[in-house]
Amino acid sequence: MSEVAPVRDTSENDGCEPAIIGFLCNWCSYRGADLAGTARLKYPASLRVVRVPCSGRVAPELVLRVFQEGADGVLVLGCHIGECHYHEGNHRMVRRMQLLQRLLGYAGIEPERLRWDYVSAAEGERFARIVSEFSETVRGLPPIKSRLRSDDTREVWQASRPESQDGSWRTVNVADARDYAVRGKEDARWPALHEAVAEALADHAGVLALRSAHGDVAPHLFQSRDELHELALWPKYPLPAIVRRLQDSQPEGRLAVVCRACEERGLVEMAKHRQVDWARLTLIGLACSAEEVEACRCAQPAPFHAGVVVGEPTPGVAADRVLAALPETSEDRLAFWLSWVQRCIKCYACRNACPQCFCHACALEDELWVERGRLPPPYPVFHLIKAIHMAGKCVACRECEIACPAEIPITVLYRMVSQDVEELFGYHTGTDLEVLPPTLLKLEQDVET
Amino acid sequence: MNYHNVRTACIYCGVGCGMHLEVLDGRVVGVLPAKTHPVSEGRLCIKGWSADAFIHHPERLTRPLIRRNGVLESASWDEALDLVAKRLGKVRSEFGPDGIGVLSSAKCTNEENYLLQRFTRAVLGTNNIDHCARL
Repeated sequence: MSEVAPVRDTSENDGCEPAIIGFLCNWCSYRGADLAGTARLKYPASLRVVRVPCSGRVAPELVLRVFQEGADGVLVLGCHIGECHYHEGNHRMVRRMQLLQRLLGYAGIEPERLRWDYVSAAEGERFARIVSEFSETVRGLPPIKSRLRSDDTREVWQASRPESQDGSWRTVNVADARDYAVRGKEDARWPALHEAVAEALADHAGVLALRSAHGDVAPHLFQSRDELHELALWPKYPLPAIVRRLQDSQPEGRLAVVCRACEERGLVEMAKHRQVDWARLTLIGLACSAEEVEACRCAQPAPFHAGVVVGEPTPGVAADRVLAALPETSEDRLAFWLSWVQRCIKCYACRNACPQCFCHACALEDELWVERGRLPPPYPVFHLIKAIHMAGKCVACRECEIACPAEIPITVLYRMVSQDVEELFGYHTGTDLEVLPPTLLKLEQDVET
Repeated sequence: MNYHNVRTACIYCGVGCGMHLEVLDGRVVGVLPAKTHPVSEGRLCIKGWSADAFIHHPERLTRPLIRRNGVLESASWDEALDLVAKRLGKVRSEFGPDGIGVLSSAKCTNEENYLLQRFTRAVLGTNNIDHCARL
């Protein structure tokens, strides 16, 4: 990483040149920059250029790490749309950068610090103009190093603690969600659930559901009617991840799963990523009770794909009721997140509890992005990599936040990212089996230039 | 196919967070936090989340090894226990019971740990025993 880390120490930058890292596509922008040089055009010296084979090569992880290392601005330049040497690389770049820029904003890093644009090999002047403009914008912002490495975050957290204890603003009411009173036979939905599971047992290898034994609830693969008196409804567990595991171990045969709306959405996304085999799966929907909806602050608690739905669907919680705690200004947002992530013990529970985290090689374990042995993990890489990876994947099951020992309200970011995915790409995560997520699309024709 | 969960306590430290071991066809394949546990309430640290890793680990010791001429060779239990008894007896007669120290493991059961401290105190005659889960 030392190669791209800015050499200039900007910690005492008052009006001095900011440190800007530019990722330039080898086939166009890099040559455009060359042309600007040979044409003796003037542009600010604050830019450090990194040549990349394609702007589509610039991973969000890379941009985040560069910010963490102290870059005040990141400039990504690629070919004009339709002129990518690899056909679709710059389309991918635009999608990523659009999302990443908004995410940076929610995370308290001014979105203006990230800019992407298009420069062809013939556009030396355009290159010089973009660099000058961007440099001017970044110069108007405070140096990032002094802000990310704030020493007084402990005190900020202490100060924000009373507010954080009242959970009304959270995307999940951690206190309620952790009220793990076992719900079994006494629940009004139990007889119908029992019937549905008993029926499914007849023509399935097993039914994955929750089982209550000795006052304790855990996922279980029911295979005999004799066990069904132990069926339970709460507390919920990340069942989609278990479906994947079971189907992996048994390449044939049908399974049934009792799933809530969030788990159903999770299975839809996993099916699109070929993590579960939808054709070998029967869904028994479970509509969450009003109490459960409130605990998870769930916006869409009604199962949609399941053939059978147990229980009466309850209306969801409106999105504007939560997220109110996310402060308005970048400065306050940064203080808010720094105060929370200071508590992170890097236990990876958010990753481990997430059914959508199924990559073989996890970016959060890659030393290129996440340094070993640093606790709490430096902001923003660790938390924002997970957040950007949740684009088009997070189905708001809240398992991550419920599992977080530090109670970091991380799903606020995931929820914002999901809203952006809807807004920018019209993609509703976890709903339609036929529509591919923006991250999987081969070639985009609809990118605005 | 058989899948069930076994409720247990995390072996790594003295907190003893509640967890489920996921058992698939007789093999432990994962960990889930026990949400109904009154203390840990469905939370685990990174150790707990990976507490299943050593169970079927290929490098896990499955039989006693005795170092002969600098090389570890597998041996029978009788052979190993005889050697341990002989050498512990020698140390004890030469330096007294406090010449021996015993380190126990967090990766065996509470009962096994109890037995080891009984053995240490009653048979070896020393209080020199400690345990890596005593955080």
